[in-house]
This record gives sequence, structure tokens and C-alpha cells, in this order.
Amino acid sequence: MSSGRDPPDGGAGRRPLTRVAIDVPATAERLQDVHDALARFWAAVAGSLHNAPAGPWRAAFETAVAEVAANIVRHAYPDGAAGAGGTMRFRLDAYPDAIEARFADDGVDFRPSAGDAAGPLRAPPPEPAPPAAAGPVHLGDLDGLDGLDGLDDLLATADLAEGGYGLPLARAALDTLAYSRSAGGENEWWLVKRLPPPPAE
Amino acid sequence: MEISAERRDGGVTVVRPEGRLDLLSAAELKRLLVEEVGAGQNRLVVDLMGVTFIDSSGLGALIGGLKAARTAGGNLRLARAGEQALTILELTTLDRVLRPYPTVEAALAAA
Repeated sequence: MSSGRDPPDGGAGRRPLTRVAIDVPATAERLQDVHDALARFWAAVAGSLHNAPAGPWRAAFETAVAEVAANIVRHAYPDGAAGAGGTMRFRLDAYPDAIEARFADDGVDFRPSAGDAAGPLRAPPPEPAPPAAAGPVHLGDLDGLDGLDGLDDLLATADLAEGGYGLPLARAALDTLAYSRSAGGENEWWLVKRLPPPPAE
Repeated sequence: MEISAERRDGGVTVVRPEGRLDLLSAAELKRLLVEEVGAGQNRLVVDLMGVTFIDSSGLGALIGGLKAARTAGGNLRLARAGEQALTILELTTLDRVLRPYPTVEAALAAA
């Protein structure tokens, strides 16, 4: 933790095999740009990784990315009607063992509302993160999907929530979902999903 | 988002959204589902064949429709969900209440 390691994107040791980075207006209309960037990224990754993700793995990662993007659109710029809002800086990186995404914005501090299914922000988990994980700022992790236990088809649906699934869903789809806010007022979301081992030759 | 609604006998409506079902389009889908139930069509099948991506807002709209249908004594079932839709249903465990069926006819038989 105090090894003095460089930030992941500026470090000497760990460079992505593939990177796609875009700036996107933080509006619902422009979420399409995030999906377009994902499509370009997968096309590029197919040539650089032996174990390029596909199927449910990829669907889960895309789902997590979309949920974090939607969360920023909704909460980071509460006064930002379409066109007047801020910008999300979005980046996708492929490493031999993981796919990572980062979102940065200059909006308001992320605070889960009381009763939010995301739960309170937590200290980083004890599990070892990938080598590049030692970031310069505190990264809190979000709670899991505990609130959804016990659902059943026979259950009365009257109490079923129509919202609040987004960040728990992202958490469930990833190995790491972390959020930090810098002293300079930048929000950063960090998403990591480890790749399955490459197929035996 | 384009959404079509095909009314059939027996209070059945097959709803077909097209494109991305997310933040931008969820309210429109929920409104249509609730309107169908209000018009006496409380057996809803949402055919997801044309949906390229669904997020938690889209799920929320489906849950809203499910609740409206069940309150009226009916139900809501999903048909022809793609890989990403199946993934999000499983990750949230909402597949236990929003049951996916491989065809519209299978969903209809269960709705």
C-alpha cells in the first residue's frame, strides 16, 4: 500500500495491451458513445489477447460499465440537463489477466442515499488486487447484492424495488468496483474483471 | 426507442421494444406496460428479441410492469431474451420473478 508505486496509468511496469479512451458528455443520450467505445475495444482486443472475452463474461463486464456510466449521468451532475452537464472521461484497458475500465468526472461527490441497495462505501477488501491496484488515493468498495436474497416467483411482488439495482449489479459483475474522490474534486470509478485463464494449447 | 404492442384475446398483450432499454427509454416502456394493464390487458409478454442491451433502469421498468400486472391479477413474462439480458437477470437474481422463456408462445402459455 505504501510502496510508492506509481499510479496504474503512469507506472513503468504495467502497460495495457490495448487501450480505448474517450470523453463523453454525461447525458443519457450519449451513453451510446460508451457502447460504441466498448465495441471498438472488443474488436481491438480480439487481436491482442489469446483469451479475448466473449459470451456471458463480456456481457457481465459491459453491464457493469453501463451501470457505472448511468450512475454518473444520474448523480454526478444533478443540475446538468442534457447538453449542459459535464463530461465523463472513460477508458478501457486490456491486460493479459484482466480488463479494466475507469470513469472520471468533475461532478458532485458520490454518496449512496439511505436505503440505497448499494449500501455504504466500505474500506478496500482484504483480497489482493491486481499488481496495478495500488492507486494514489483511497478506494472504497461497494456492498454486494444482499438485499436481493430470498426473492421467489411465489413471493408477493408488491415490495419489489424498481430501482437501486445499478451499483450492486456492477459489483456482482466484476471482481473489483471501487470509487474514490481526489482532493482536487475528481470522482474516479475503477472496474476490474479478471480474465479466465487462456485455453490449454 | 420503438415499442410496439400487439393485443390478443384473453387480455394478452405482446410488447416488443427495439434497441437499447436503458435510462433513456425505461420510462416509456413502463408507461406503456402500465397503460396496457389499465386497459384490461393484464397478461403481458415482453418480447426482447429486438433489445440489444438492457440496464438496471430497463429492469426497473419491467418490474414496474410486473407489479402492475400482478396487482390486476395477471402476470408479465419475458420472451427471447438475449445473452446480455439473461446475464443481467441472473446477476440480480430477478430471473426468479421475471422468468425468461425461449419463445413468445412459451411465455404466453405461462403468463
